[in-house]
Amino acid sequence: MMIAIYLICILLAAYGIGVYINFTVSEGKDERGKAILAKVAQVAFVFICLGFSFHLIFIEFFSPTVEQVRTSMTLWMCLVFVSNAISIIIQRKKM
Amino acid sequence: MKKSERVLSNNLYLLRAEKRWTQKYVAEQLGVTRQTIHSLEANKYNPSLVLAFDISQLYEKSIDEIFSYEKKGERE
Repeated sequence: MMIAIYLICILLAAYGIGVYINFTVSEGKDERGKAILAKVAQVAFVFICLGFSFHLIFIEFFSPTVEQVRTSMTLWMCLVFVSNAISIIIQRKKM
Repeated sequence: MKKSERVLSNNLYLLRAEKRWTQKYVAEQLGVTRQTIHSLEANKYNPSLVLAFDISQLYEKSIDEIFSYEKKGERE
């Protein structure tokens, strides 16, 4: 079960990084690209903050095992990369 | 107090069509991507002041002739 979650997370994260790199190389050099990347970074930052807050509460009040923390951190990073990729796709169409 | 929504519009598409330039050519001249030119022409993206000056030089028109800052509507 855990391996399946890790695999899905790795695939999603790889997709997110792929979208980000592809956009940075193809369109991210000029001012519109930089404006899009700035907006996307704002969205990703929100998820980083939320994930950090969640982990503080999770570790403080729920006394999780190492495996649970590892899984939640994997999911967190996956969420950050995916949110980054989705924001890029949305902003590309909007802007 | 009334606030009016102002929108920056442009006639870049018409100017480009007059000159029979492609989006790719304009993008190369301005040092931006073709997608940026498309977004500018579709009024989806407002250019920076530097890019606006570059555009005005490329088309040999003043910024006022290319861009207009209009009131779209009024709301309270």
